[in-house]
Amino acid sequence: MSPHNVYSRADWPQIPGVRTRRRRFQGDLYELSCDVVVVGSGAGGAVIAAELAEGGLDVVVLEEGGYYATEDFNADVTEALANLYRDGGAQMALGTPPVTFAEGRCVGGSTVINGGMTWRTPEHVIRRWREDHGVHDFDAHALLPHFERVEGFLSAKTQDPESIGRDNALLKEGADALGYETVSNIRNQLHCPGSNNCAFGCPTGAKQSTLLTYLPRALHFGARILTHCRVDGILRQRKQVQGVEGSLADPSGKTRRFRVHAKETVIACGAVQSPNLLLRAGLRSPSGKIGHGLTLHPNTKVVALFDEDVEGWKGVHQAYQVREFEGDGFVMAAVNIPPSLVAMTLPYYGRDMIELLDQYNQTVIGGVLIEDTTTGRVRSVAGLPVTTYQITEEDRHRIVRGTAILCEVLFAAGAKRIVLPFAGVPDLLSMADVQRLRETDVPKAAMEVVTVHIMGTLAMGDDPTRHVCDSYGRVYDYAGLTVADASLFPTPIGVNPMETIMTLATRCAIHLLDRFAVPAGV
Amino acid sequence: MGVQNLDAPTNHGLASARYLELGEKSKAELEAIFRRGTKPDPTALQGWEFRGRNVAWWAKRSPILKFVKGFYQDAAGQTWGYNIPQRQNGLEQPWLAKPSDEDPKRFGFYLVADVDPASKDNVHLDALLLDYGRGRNPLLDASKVLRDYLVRVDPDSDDLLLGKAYLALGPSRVPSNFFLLERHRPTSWVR
Repeated sequence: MSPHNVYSRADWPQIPGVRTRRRRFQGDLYELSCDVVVVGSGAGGAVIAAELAEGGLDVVVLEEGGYYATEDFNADVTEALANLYRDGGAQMALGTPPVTFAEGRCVGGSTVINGGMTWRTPEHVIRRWREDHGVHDFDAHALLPHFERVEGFLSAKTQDPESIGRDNALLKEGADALGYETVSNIRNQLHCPGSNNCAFGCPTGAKQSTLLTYLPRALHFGARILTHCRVDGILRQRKQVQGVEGSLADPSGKTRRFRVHAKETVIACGAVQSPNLLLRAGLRSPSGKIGHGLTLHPNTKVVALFDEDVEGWKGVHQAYQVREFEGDGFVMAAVNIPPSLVAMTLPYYGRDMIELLDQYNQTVIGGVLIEDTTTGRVRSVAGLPVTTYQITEEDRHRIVRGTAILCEVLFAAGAKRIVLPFAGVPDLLSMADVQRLRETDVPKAAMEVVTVHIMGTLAMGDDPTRHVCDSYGRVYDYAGLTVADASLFPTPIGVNPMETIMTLATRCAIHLLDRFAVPAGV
Repeated sequence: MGVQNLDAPTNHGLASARYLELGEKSKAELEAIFRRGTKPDPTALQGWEFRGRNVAWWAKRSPILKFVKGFYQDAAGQTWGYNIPQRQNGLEQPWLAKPSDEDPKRFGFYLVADVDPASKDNVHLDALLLDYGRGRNPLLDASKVLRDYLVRVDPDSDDLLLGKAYLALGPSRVPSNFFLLERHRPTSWVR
């Protein structure tokens, strides 16, 4: 049962204000008008929708995925991948190595399937964006009220101690033994019991995704959320953007078209889909940079086997981060992954694979997140995004070094064997083997790299010749078009991006409200 | 809101060093300044004349290297503007109107407007449009094809402006050249 004002594809004819235009050969066309249409309901879209609705604007949120509530979430990974993830979670940035990435596609977007880490934008990143990219009103003082507002809605805080699982405790023990700095993760959660299902929808309602925070707030202030709406075009008269159009896949198999006319259009469908939408709609930037500047925090993971029963599925998804090497461009964490997904990525088969999975209870899965030094690109080919990304030599070295240090941490915690994400490199069996890894020239092609942080393809800044959007997300050279998602990042940020996305969306909303209140004129 | 400093020195009709320096910049450099420029405040232009110079290879020996643009407000509050021809006595010399400073010729009138993104004249959304096509010029006046876009050189000042001229040839808008404006002298003239 969907809440009031959440409409599925079958509801369109009954949505208040919808006009149905009968067309003889093309099927019915649904049309709807509003002040602001927001494409996407994740960290960016939900926040800007709620802020604008609270500001008194008539807001329509379009979401390509479906609406799933807390009671729909469980440990069925296959079902979650199909319902909550775009392309079953198996998207890929082409390059050597290819980088597998995942995006949410459901009401709430990636906030429904992320780990919930809620970090403010690091100081050095704020400074870099202000000084190197000319982002206006962007310093710790100006951002503080936005951070605090976001954190208030998300109930951002550290975990209750009893929810921290043994896998995370082991990571911290290893880091402590080596004298490395760790921090307790701040997460968007209310007394999370540690059911460790964050990536497949929180079944307890503890994780404060936008599904439970900003979107109900948007609905409270009159916004409408329309699900199963695939936006494929931008309505405009020359440079005046006037809304979006797209299609509804009718369960009966018919495809119906819709148009939402709006005074302001907000694109917030992530750093891959947002540039793709602009490109396929034929928009051009004075900078020529639509789709450029993709960064993605490449991640590698190791599987460490311990003698003790770790039972990594018990306890919170991530409780700590090892921050000792943040200045060197990487952080580390313990992240439990369900056995089906672990099996998919292990470099073994047959009996060896069975033996490894038989020890799943004794497994700690650790990950390294790299702040990348290069950028990729999103192109639109036949309306679909094609993502390319090539890691640099510097990042290759960072990946090997970061992985080696993570292995040292896990050995210090008592690991007996570590399976590496590097094809052809034997498992490590002791601390002494880590030195062997450090000396190994691991080719890029041998690396298994994944990510869930996609950023920076419609960068913001003060220079229309370098940036696609201004400091408040407005797309240069178009009127009535704003971007409010991770596409805006001019550079990677080195930490989980959710709070930064939400903070930027809050700024964009305030700026938009100002513009609605004060019409321009000569 | 731009700053309109009525007590600001007008340099006695002489161009400032910065103005002269900007005029020596390359087309690419001016394009970069123009792209970063912000929209002037039309109320800060009203009641003022600005000394202007065209920046183009062909302008150096042309009779329109130096010119003056003036701005005024009509009874309805709309901002309009006009041009005044100048003696071409070199950029280091004062701007002197033709036929005289006391009774200058005014021509090439234009409407000052925000850029309408949905119109044909929408090349630079963050600029102020000087639309000669709506300037109530004579029917066959050649200036009717001009469309000028104006931005501030400095974000908070309306004293120094950079313009980019286009020719409206049918549905096409053909870029012509950059020009510079610097606050020159107050005026009470209204058409």
